[in-house]
Amino acid sequence: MKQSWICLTLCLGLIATATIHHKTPHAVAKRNKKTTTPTLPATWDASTTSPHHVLLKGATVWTAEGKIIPSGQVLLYKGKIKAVGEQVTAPKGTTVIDVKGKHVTPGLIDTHSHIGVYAVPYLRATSDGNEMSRPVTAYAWAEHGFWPQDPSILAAVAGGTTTAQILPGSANLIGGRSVILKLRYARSVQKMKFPGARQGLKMACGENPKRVHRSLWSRMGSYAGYRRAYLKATAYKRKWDAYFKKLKAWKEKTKKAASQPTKKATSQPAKKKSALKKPKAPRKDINLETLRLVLEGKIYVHIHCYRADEMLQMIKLSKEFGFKIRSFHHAVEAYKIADVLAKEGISASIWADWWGFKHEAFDAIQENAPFVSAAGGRAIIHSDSATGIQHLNQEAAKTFYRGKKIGLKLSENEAMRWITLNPAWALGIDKVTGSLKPGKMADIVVWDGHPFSVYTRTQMVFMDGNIVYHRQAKRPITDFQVGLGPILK
Amino acid sequence: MVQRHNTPQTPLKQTSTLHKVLLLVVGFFLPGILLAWAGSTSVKTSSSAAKKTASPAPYTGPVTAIINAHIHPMTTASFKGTILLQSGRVKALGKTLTPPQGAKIIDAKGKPVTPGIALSNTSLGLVEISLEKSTRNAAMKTHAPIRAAFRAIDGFDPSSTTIPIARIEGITTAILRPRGGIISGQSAFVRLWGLGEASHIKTPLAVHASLRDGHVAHTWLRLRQLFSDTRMWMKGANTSTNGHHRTLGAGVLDLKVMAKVVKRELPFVLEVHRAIDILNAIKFAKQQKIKLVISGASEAWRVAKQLAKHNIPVLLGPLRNLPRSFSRLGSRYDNAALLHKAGVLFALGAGGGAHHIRHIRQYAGQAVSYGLPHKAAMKAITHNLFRIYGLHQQAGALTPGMEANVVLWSGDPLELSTIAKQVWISGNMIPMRSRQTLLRDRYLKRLKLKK
Repeated sequence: MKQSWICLTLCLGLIATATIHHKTPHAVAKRNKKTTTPTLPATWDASTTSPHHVLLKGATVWTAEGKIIPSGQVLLYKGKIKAVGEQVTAPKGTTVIDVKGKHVTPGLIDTHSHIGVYAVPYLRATSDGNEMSRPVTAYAWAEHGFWPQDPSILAAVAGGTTTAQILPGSANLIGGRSVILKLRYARSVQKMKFPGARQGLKMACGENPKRVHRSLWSRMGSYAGYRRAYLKATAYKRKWDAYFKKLKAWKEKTKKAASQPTKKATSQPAKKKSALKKPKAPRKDINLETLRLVLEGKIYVHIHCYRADEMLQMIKLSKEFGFKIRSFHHAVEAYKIADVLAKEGISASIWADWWGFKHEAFDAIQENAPFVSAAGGRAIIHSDSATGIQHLNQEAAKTFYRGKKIGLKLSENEAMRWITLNPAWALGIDKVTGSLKPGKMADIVVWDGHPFSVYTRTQMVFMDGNIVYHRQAKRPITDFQVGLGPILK
Repeated sequence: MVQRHNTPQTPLKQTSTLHKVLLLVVGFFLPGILLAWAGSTSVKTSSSAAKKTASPAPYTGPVTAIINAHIHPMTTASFKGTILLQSGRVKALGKTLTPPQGAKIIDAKGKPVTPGIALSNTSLGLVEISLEKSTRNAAMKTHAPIRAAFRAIDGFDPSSTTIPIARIEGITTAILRPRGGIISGQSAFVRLWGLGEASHIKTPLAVHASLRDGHVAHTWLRLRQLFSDTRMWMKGANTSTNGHHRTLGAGVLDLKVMAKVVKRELPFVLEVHRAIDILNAIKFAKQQKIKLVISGASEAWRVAKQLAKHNIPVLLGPLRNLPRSFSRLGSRYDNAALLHKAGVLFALGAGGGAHHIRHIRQYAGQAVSYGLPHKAAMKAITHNLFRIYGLHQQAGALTPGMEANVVLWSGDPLELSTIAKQVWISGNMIPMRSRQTLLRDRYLKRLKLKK
């Protein structure tokens, strides 16, 4: 059995390495083309994706959609999921992988990680996650601090996590822009960027900013800090909106003028010339530019916030300035306002059971995610840890079972969504990943047992249809780990 | 689950006043206090410890009988049957044991019963909120490198908010570890129930030291100096009235404690991660003729044979696989499994602190998924810690005479779906609630989530 596994994988590996060029931009890239910010582009493409049909057969299939299929099949083709069901029709020549008795789930997604920006080994040199020079650094981008050789990246993949949002730390009121990555081995962060995904904005409330910054002494100062920044951003946006309006008018006029007969134009040359003068763009502000895009809804807002009352304060702030909060992170007291979060459509990215390291984490309970879920909101289990990101399934399981024990109405599939579809939604990529649905990216984990058991480990991980991890046959390492194995025998 | 034939040991009610609580605690703990006293006397003469516990005080007072249990005594084979608790100890256990008249009967319905979890390296009751200095009592507030006289027990609050949260997860005993400096101070072994000495199992337990990254050679020099000074001071104290002949690197109180290490009365626990440092520590222990315990030990698997050969026990932290520092490049998830294979005596821990230590069962389960046999994992979180400190005649297993630290689980203790259904500490049936469960219930009611 084991041998046939390895053989199949190696075969697949060979297929995967044969380079096939096909430039099919992802649906999400198309959809977001107008709204994507002028970031460094993702240079990832699916060119190494297997062009063959691959069928995973016989496993319990956790779709993270409607139901769990006890003995199902998943057909992959050209990096996408082609079909999911109890029985799917696979064309001739399909590579069949027998995964009987195993469990298949979507690749796990983490909304909160600092791998790459706080890389191991933890050194001053690898600490690039917090730009603590001032409380508002909306200009800072996580991707510019990201080290693609962090061993944590491939360890996360080995644990079944295929996509993660890498955030700046929480030292600042506004820490900067996040980056959403497919956790694959690459020489640059651009090669890892999730195609078409928009960036997020990291904000933080509570204890951290006021502990770190000398210019902040209290939560009053912090709140004033957000308001100051967003007031400036609002004025800045107004300036740019006016400019865009003028520019649009100018473009229309010049177009019109170009289509008019030249005779008329020459009769009144002076007047026409001034009317056609191109409006001057306002000066760009690197800090306010980020916040302008937030106000336009082009960057999703993620707020590190523990206490219930502070989350409510932040919701108030968002309403004052007209932006949407996509997810509260850590949200240790989300359970206290689970109804509000559900009503406002704000997800909660939380740990299963971390508590007590700070005063604002003192009221944690072990049923936080189940509360959010049972109230009709979107619960997400996040890691915020290079170890936790290796077993998000266990973290979800712990809190799921606690919720069940107190009689909350929860399903296993719902708990699976806490680490797949819900985080995909929070990152704005739920149309292309996060569940096993035809047309979505073939990001898939094969587990050797029930994914909510402590004894279960990953067997294989697929990313865009490629096997990126196989317990027996493929365990990639980053440059940092090269040579360490033999030395440490 | 709980059938109350007679309830001499009603768990503390939330409505109780402080006075009532205190009265109850004292009431519950008279046997416990007596036992602790008996325990502490037997420990002083360590060689006679086994003899003393072999002829224990008579069993008196109410009896708790856990029937229909799948009992895992740890040191003997598992079986289905009954276990009787009396006078804070395990009185008897067997496949066909009839509970005495008037016993409080708990029907386990076939679920597992194990000894309580014993954790090394915690700050339980020493720290309330990690980031708030005013709630931290685990370290001396100076930069002094030698703090042997510092005692963790002096800062211990048995009424800490951290304790009910830990014990309802099945953690019944813990080692309070001092922090900071080269020599951090003396640890204490406590049970998570009872005020004052009722909660003490053994204190002082050991002297703790650590080899910090970037301070390795420096630390070895200071340790050699300290042990040399201790021996000189010991000689001086015995032979002359002025005490010593040169300036010593530590204060008299510190030297007094270090003398106990030199005389093998207290084990010396050294936190160290690199393989080479572990080997150097073994060598040092041989030279100094001290009882060494290795703590941390990320790269212990590389020197497992040497650890086994010299009978050096190991206190492992949570399993890690990432090279978190250059001293831990060899971190791997099967560290515990490899130590087990080599025959090293080790206990699994959950890292320092007072909060996340309840992850211990998950860590043990993960160790099993990386090759550690289930039974070995269970022993590594219950029995082994007592064995490492020579207290295994007293607690850490379910055999007659052992302290009744017992957990009834809803299933496999290492599985994520399992909870502790009931915990007994020194035979006391503890209330299965904490600030967290009460907060949960408060909001469950408020939000009306259960329809």
